[in-house]
Amino acid sequence: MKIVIVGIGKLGEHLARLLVKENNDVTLIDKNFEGKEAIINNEDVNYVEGNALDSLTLTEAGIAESDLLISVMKDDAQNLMCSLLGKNLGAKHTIARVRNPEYTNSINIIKDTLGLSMAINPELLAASQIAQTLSIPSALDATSFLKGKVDVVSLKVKEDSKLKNTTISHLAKKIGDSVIICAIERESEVIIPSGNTKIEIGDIIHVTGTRKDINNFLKYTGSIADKTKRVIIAGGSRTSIYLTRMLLDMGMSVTIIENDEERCKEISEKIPKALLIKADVSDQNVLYEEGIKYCDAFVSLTNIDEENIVYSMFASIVGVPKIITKINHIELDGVMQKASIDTSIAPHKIAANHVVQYVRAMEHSGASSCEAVYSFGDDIFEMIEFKVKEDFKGINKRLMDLNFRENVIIGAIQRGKNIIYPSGKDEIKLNDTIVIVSKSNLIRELNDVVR
Amino acid sequence: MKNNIVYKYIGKVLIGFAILFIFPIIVSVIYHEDFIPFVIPQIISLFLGLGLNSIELKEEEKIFAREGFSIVTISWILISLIGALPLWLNHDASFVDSLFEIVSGFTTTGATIFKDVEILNKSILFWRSFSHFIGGMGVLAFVMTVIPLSKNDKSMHVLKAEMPGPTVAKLVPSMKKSLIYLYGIYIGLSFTEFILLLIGRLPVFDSLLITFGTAGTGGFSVLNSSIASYSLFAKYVVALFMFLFGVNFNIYFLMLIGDLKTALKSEELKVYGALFIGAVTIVVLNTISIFGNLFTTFTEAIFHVSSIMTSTGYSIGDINIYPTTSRVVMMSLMLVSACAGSTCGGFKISRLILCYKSIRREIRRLVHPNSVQVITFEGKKVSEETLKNTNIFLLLYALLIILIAFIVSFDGFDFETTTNAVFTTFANVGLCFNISNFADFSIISKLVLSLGMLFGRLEVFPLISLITDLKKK
Repeated sequence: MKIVIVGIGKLGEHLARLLVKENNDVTLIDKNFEGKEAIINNEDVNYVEGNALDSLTLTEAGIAESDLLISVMKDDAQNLMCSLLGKNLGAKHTIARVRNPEYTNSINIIKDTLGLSMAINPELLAASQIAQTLSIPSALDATSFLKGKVDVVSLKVKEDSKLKNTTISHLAKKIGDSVIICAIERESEVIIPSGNTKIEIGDIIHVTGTRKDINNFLKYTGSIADKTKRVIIAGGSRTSIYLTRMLLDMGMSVTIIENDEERCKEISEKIPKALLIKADVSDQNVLYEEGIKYCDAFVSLTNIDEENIVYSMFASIVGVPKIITKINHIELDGVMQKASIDTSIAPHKIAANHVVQYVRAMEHSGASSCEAVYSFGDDIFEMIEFKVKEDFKGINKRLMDLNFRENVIIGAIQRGKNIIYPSGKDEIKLNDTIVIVSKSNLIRELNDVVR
Repeated sequence: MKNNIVYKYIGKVLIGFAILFIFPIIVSVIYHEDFIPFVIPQIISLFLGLGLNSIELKEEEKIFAREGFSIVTISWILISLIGALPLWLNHDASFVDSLFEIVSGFTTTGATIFKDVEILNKSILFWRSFSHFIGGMGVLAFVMTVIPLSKNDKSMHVLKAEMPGPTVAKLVPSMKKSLIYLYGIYIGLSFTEFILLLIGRLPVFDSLLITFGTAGTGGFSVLNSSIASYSLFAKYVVALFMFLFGVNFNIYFLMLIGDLKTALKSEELKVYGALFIGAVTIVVLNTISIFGNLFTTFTEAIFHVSSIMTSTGYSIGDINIYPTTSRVVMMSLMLVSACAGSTCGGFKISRLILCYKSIRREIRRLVHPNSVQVITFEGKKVSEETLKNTNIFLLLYALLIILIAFIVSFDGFDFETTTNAVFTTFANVGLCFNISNFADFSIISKLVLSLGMLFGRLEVFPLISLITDLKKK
């Protein structure tokens, strides 16, 4: 597909990388490529320097033949303007980043009027990701699939875990087939497990199942934590506002610590139920006063990565059971583990995954189509939802008779309203939605799962 | 007062006021009664008004907050003085008594000095009740609706000074249109009640006067027994409409334009409803042993709670048989009263909510010294200015009550009677434990209580600012 990306910031760059990896023709537009040479030199992309709100620049970038225009400049209004121009100049689809909460309120009107295919709000996506994770506190991470019917949670195997040194098939005998361990991360490598894969201490395992079954599984492993009730958020960013609303709706109490008084007032006006504290998060007296020792979760959401890391480290020293850290641009492998930061969230990565998912769905429309894609463990493996159409080779065959590729398993099958966690005897039928777990970039379409 | 615009404005108000005398004159003609007592004040009002209105403005003068306060306060005092004339001229009462009676009327209090109202002329009865109807929405609001005003005269400052409540919001951008909408709602509701009372087989005259009394949440009645001798249906109609006139009129406006969702979301309305139901429940539980019959208890409780809470002051029986708990509940309701933006007196529920929220914030600050909280009301941010204003209002309110009670105490009534008399006049209620009329109070007490009613109706600040203004000179 021919894709034009406007605005090469964090998100634009990340998107370009992911989309090139997926074999798309990517053209970048930015006013100035100084300091951004890395992306041009290291990735197979074309680029045009100029103002994207100038139709000449867009034409030069080949907008007329393009399938998709993605505008991710700093300013929302410019993104919307650029999408409008792009659409009129021939781009088949347009995606714009819209971050301003006021715009988000009226996003449907804006989308309809401008013919926008998708509006992405990285902060909102990040907030719902965090909220979901907090709802299953013993998990490192939680995402839902199949329109919320199935969750995938990740958890770390600790020394006292019942799971250590058991094989998958042994485990299946004990807990039945209500959940599936679909991927194991071990030292930045991913293992898509088979029956005799052994779970070791320090592994991060990814488990799919319904919320209830996962809770039972967590209970079995002895790693279930108390329900999250009190949350402290460091920093009053936009993500904080979205998150606070979600957490309050889930019945949690939220304290936001923010150093700017005007900002505090603004948030307090928007969310009267939240407790706003005007203070510097780096003042430990304030943190103790606000009961950091007794809170169930600590979320660092300031705009500075380094601060977030330090605050989270402190929370970890104090002994907060659940800590989530927003990391925007630091990409130093291993640092997070060393700083004992288990869960980190990168809004631009979540947003990028969202876009990639959309692009894949576009690509495959017609054939057995990809409905959603989620990437895990720094893009080392992914889960893809496919709708099964007539062209799939494996229809009505038992799974054990299909010759699956290596590193691919089926995580769940949705048939009508039922969710099946498949064993070898199950079959895939027409119009099922299936969730494939695989190492990244193996699967382009559904037929790729079989050899 | 340096500002001529104040006098000119008051002149216009008096011209408008003169027009109002036409109604009691019509009534006195219908009932073949003496109409001279109404014609004399009408002429006085008209000529005084014309005289003041002819004052030339020296330069481009404008109405600011201070002028607004002065206009409203002086107008109310003049109107009370002129409005008292018919009762005095008709030899029904002394001038001070007449003044008390008509101030009680315009401030929609409904406390009376007459031991027997049934012997009064129909036109005088009409004039008393009619003053409720006019005073309910505000005399100046009436004038601003009826009389054509120049651009400068359409001042929010005047409206702010007269309209009850912590903040005044216009319904639509144009003030005149807003007022017309408000009056539309007011008259619409009144008309409905009037018709319902007629259906309840009340005489036309009684229906009209009771409607006036309910609409303005005043409480002057035609009979000595207030509402007690009318049918059960009429009692419930009056109870219902007393409650309805205690609701913020903005809510009716929202309902009229079809925004039912916002209307029902109103915090003030919810608290109003909750307080009402709570109070009725307590009074029912507290009085059931007295009345024995649950239905009678229920009717009494609903009627009297809504009468007192909306500062109307009608009654359907002897409230002196109520036990202490019920009395305390009702006397507290007297002071709080109903919603801002209605025709009620008292402290207003919206202010109570604001005070409660400030208290909660201060307590939160004790526990979390660094916490920041913006107080919101009806989903909107409340400025620190408004909060400060509300808290000071509460303080002044309490201080004035104590001061007035001190002066009235010299009359030698017992403690409950004295405080209750002050509460009921200051909060513009009119119904009172231990007292059925104010005839036995001394002249000084009557004057002070009249002033108290004005303070209560104009919500303290306009009068205070006028007094401090005069003191400077």
